[in-house]
Amino acid sequence: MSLNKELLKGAIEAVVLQCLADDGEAYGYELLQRIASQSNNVFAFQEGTLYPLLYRMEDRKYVTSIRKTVSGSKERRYYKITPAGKTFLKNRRTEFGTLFSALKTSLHFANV
Amino acid sequence: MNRKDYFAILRTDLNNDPRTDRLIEELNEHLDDHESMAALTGTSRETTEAVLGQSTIIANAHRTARRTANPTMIMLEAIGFGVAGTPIFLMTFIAMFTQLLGTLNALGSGSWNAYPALPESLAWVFAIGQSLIGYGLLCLGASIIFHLFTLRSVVTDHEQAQLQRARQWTIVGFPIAFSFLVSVGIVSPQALTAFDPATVIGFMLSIAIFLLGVLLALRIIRASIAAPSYSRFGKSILWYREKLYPKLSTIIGVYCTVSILVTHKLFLTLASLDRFNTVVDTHPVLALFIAAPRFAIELGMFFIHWWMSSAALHILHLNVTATYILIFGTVIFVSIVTPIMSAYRRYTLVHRLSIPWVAVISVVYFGGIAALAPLRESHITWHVPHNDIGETLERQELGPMYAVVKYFNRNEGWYANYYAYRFGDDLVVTMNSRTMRIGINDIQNPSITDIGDAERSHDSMLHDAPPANVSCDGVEFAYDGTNVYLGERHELTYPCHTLAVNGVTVAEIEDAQYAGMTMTADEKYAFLLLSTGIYDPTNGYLVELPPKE
Repeated sequence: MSLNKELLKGAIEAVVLQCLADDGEAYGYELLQRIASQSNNVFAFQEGTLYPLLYRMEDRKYVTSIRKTVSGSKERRYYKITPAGKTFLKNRRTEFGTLFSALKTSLHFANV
Repeated sequence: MNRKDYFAILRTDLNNDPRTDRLIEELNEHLDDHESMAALTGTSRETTEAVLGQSTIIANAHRTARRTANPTMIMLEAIGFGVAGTPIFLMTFIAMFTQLLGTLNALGSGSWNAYPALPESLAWVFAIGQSLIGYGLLCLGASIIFHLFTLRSVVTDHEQAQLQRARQWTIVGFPIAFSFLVSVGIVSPQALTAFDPATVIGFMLSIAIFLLGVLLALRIIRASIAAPSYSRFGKSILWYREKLYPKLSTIIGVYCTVSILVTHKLFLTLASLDRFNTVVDTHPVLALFIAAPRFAIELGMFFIHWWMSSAALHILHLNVTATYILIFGTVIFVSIVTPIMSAYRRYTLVHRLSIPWVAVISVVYFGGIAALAPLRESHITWHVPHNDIGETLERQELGPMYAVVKYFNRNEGWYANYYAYRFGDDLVVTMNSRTMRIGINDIQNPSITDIGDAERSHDSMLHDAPPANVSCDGVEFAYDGTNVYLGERHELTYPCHTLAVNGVTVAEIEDAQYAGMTMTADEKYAFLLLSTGIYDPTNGYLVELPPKE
């Protein structure tokens, strides 16, 4: 199932940060695989746009990055969540929790 | 599309963003991983575009991601711009003040309606019109400067457009408000004390016009920078952005170019003609209109030139203030030029906007300066010991600002109106609102005491002195017991090329249009006022007079 883009936009940062918080540092492709797996491909988006998102979060100090050598000579840039990122994630989770709770009531999810 | 072509297009779309290389590197690695995974799972290979998405979308996402704003950082930048912009506004106000005073001097003795050949209403119309021209340029300059100042904070910050309107205005308005208030605070006392009430009203009117222009400019800037969400400003803003703004850019560019090249050249040509004086005398309105462009041009030049060349030129010529200029120039560069360059780069990155006329104006301006410089200078050949008291007083008045201000008033005097009275064997000189007593026992290094109360010197005006034999170009002039004036309309009709006292030449003055003299009681010293042209303020010199034969 594909979600409305605007709806996705507001959540994707939190999803990426949650993924990094749960499973530790990851490089871009690995991160996408994790997100797709954990969300049953709901959060599938154009893969190239992940990197600008990561850059923005890096600018905001939510994540840090470092290049590491993997599998012999291959190099990849690994992203890791920071304390600021964890704080942001916590706040976002609270916001989404409140929103979902309100939506549940307003949209009568219990009656569906 | 193969990988190489895809990334070539992406690189173009990113327009050499600083992170282009990193992004492309990571996307390449991403594709490597994807292909490795495809090989392992046996799935068919997809195109680069199918895996990563359209390059334009990635580029757009990249640009959008960079438009992040930290409100605290924005406010700090706004404060920094405000502080850094203060010297600009201060210089602007000094320029306004100078030009206004110069205009008033041209019209008459410091009053709008003093010029005898002009009807009062016409003088007002002209003076206000001239102010509008000048302040229009000021607004243009302010627009450009603050447009650039606020770009980084507002234009490129996507989130900023979503901030509350009050906060937007704060961020955009703080630098200009801070600079403006500081400048007004410094300049206003002089304006209030130097002019008569009618002139003060005119000055305040001009400032009000200037403020309105600035507010309009800010409004336009704000509308311009809200590009991503300009639809919420309504159709008028849409019309402005799509239709009017491009035309305005062209018009402004053409105006500046034509003004600098043609009008300034025209004025200089006319000014260089001896007949110009005749024009001033016989056709004052025409002369004023000839002079008006110079007023506007100089203010325009003031902005550009001050930014780009004052520090370097002064370091070359003025040792006393070289250190100040060096520091000042460095501060300007670090605090203004760097953010501006950065902002411009980001602005063009986001909006793909080029401002070709800025480059054109720069080239035309410096080319024009190179072609026209040096401007006319006054040459005085002294035959007696003298001291440029005017310069000394101006240095005291301006402090560290002297060098920069003097440069922009090069070949001219400063804005001061000088009046000199005898005070015993000394001279009391009033420069605008400031009154100083000059000890003249040592002509080489006279001591100057700030009296600060003009009223105290009035009694000295009544001090009698024996008549002296003063002549200008061989023509003797009457001495009224207090001052020597070389002609009633001296500045227009009696250029004084050779000034003599008691039969001995004091100075040979090239292009002198005005000369006035105040002597000490013993006739040993005099305060000599010289001006090289009707629009050039007066310079004051302390001279040692030749003894009576």
